[in-house]
Amino acid sequence: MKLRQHWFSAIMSAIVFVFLFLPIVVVFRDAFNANKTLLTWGGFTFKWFAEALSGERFQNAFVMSLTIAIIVMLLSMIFASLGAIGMAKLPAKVRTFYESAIFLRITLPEIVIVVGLFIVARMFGLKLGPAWVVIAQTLIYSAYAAVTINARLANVSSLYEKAAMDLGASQTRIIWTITLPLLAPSIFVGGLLAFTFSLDSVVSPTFLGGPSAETIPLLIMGMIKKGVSAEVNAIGVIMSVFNILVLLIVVRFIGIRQVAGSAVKGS
Amino acid sequence: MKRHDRKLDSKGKERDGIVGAILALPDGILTLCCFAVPLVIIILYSFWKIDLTTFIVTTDWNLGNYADIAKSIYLQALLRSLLITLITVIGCILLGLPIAYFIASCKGKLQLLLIGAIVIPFWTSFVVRTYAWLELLGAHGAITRILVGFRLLPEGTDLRYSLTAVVIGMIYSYLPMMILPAYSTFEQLDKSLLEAAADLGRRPSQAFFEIVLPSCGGGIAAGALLVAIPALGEYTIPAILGGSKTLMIGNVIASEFQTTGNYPRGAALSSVLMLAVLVILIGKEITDWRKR
Repeated sequence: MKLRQHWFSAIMSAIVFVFLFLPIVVVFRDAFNANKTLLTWGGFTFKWFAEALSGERFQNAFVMSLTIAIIVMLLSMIFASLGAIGMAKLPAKVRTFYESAIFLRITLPEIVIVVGLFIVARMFGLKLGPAWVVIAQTLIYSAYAAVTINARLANVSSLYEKAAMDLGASQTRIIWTITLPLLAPSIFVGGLLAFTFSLDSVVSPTFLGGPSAETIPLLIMGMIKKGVSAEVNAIGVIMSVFNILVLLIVVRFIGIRQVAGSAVKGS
Repeated sequence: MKRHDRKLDSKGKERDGIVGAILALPDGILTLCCFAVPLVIIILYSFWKIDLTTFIVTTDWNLGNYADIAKSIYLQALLRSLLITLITVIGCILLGLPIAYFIASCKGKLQLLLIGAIVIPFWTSFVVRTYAWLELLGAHGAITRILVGFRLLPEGTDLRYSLTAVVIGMIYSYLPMMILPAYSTFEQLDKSLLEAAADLGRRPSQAFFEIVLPSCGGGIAAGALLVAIPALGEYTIPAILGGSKTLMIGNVIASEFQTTGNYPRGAALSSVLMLAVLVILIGKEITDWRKR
């Protein structure tokens, strides 16, 4: 049996959905608005996309963002999957400790973690740059990947591993031929989560990027400071389409319910 | 025979532990070097001193940085962060619960579609979504014009760069984190209780407050925490939508490091923020433990 529907919840839901989609509609509309001031509709145009895509600053920032995101994705997949498989084999006390560390990597404010790395870099006179951004993002986003992989690991039967062990397979062989293939979908999803979080991240490149690492979110933050600009909307549409493509891939793998679960931080 | 088995078993476990440790080593080193050590350094720094003419940090142990926080603008920013977080949580509960209830009351495909509709905004560029509110809340923005039209605001009001704008942006961004856990507890609710209530002549709205809310308290509290913890340390939303008088603690920390260059004071502010989050987490642990 389902909950009984109620007119109040239906009306509120309609309002909230408008609230959730209004900003997105505005961005998409203004990305195609030929009126530069954006105050009224000035006809349909692709001008802003052309301007954004041909700008060297956008191209550099896009390449920078994508490079960082791909490296963070790959590192997160490696660290999180090894960590999750290893964690299951550790003694209970050590495992609890490790789990709390992963939980804290997700829950402590990003700004505190990033500031900590910033101080370390300054203390040892190390140069800031994209590598630091990668470290910070791998640290934080691989924890999300680890949670995703752990959830899958808890649902995978250990029967196959036990069978392989009885047949005399070595630990490495079991991990390589049984555990990893069983976990592959969740590792992939964890990596894509890290990828999208990285593309959207503001705090870590702001503090750790140095002058050389302008990512797309930083580029947008800079453009916003100068006031409303039509180009920002075009860039927003490009990045959103990119993200939603990733979302569609993820949904194909694990279904929308699991996506809803993993999108909620730390659950 | 039995003893032999047990011996083998404990040996296997030991070997398991070693393999586990080797596998977890990369992530462990990352956590230690890039997480644990920097956090300890932040705490140490917060008790040190900086000479603001030479920018040399000396390890004079003192509480001056914390004394600085206790007065003036820093305390204001801290209290403002708490206030904004509180309003955000309340706003998310008020807006989130009805929609979570509605989604739980829908069937099959429609339900999936609605969940998708909650998740999709979450996956479009966060910075741009927040920036869009600048347009909606400006003097010519849609929201401002509607409110002026209903005479709720005087003509020519600009809602940008204000506390209102920050709160709207925060509720907007964190709403899905309230809706999704609340929806899943509503979904798991024992519906026979509601049938019983209906048989006894309670109206659905009465049943909601007498049965649904009390038995879903845990899920709602979980959602509130998922909103409150990241909201407290938010940097980007007030940086985009707020003005100089509506900054949150995250922004003040940022400016201590980027503008003022007073690392020890920034470290003290970071420590306070860390402490606030830990207090919330420990409070949750204690309530969970009491329930058991």
